[in-house]
Amino acid sequence: MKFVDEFRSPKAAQGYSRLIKKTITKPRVIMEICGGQTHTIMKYGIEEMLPEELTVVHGPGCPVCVTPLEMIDKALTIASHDDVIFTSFGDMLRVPGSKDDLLSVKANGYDVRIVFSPLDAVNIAAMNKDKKVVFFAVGFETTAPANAMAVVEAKRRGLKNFSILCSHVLVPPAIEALLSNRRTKIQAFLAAGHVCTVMGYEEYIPLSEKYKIPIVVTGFEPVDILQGIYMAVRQLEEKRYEVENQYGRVVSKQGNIPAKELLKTVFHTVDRKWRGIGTIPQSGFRLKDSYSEFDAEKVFDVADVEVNESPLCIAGEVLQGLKKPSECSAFGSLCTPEHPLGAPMVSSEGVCAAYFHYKKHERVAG
Amino acid sequence: VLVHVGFALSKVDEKEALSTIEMLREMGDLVDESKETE
Repeated sequence: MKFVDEFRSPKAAQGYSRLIKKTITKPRVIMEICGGQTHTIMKYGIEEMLPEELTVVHGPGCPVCVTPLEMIDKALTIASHDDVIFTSFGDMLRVPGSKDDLLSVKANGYDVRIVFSPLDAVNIAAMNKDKKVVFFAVGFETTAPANAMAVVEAKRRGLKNFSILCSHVLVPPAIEALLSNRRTKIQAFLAAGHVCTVMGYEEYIPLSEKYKIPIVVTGFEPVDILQGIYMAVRQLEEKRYEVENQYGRVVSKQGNIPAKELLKTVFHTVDRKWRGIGTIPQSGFRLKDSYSEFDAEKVFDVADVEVNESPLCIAGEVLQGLKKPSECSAFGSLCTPEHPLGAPMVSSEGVCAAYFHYKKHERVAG
Repeated sequence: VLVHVGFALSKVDEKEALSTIEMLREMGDLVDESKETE
């Protein structure tokens, strides 16, 4: 495929692998934020192409993984109503809540449906006026414009039976939270290319300056990742800390301006709890008051939900790059994609699932 | 275009893509040359 195959070229990958080895002079730690990039790294064996001095740690950029347990439990409560059609992207269905998951709710006879776009949920609402249709709006800045558009579209069509359970999260406050943790070893970031496609990368510049840390906006093909790593290593070796854009074919500095305007119209930023990490100030979107009739948390009485996290799961430390999945005692034994204890083992972007699929040999013995 | 959950997020910039691909080709040539000298 044009503009894809070229970025999977083994020769170019080998070239960057050699350049990185030639450039690095001491141990370095780089974090890729996005779960999509984590999967590319595992799938193409990129870690095996890197020098020993370089450690790549995996970040919290998996929307399903960081959606707080309270929100999953709220989804389960809302979905367990006879007059509700609960819609969601597929990978949320198997994420464990305190007791159950959405798939179990569906198995118990409630109407839970997978959709591929939030606009599908709006259409379902238009076709089922006697039901309340709820869409589980999770995701980073990449997905937020589509979810905002669904709300705008529902309003335009005068739908009174559509709402979203909104659990949006934002990358820059998460980077700040990771860097504020004294235990962090991260020296450079690969920023998520598709988040920056929407938002641009201007908001990363003050972060890079404040924490004196290189940030490279990076794409998702294997050569993109290797080139992004090379650019980050070169900055570290040259003692520079800037925001660079490896993914120039898709990302501009300003991002997608109409999409950003839409976000401003529909959402405002709020403090948001991240599963396993805790509350990060101003790190989430919530619907503005002018759209509150579409806010499922207001439509349904789900304010007080008691939560119960698995004591074995170390997802919080994994998502902050403090531990790798293979350091978890439950990895691959008590916790598998078939029977996940934590969300990172479920999602197609989850780091534990990536290790399970591509690096099972690193499983802890016993 | 780059599509995500039913929406076009961005158009791929052809000029920028071609210039990166050219750089990758040069990188591939360098790998070939260094193999020949090994």
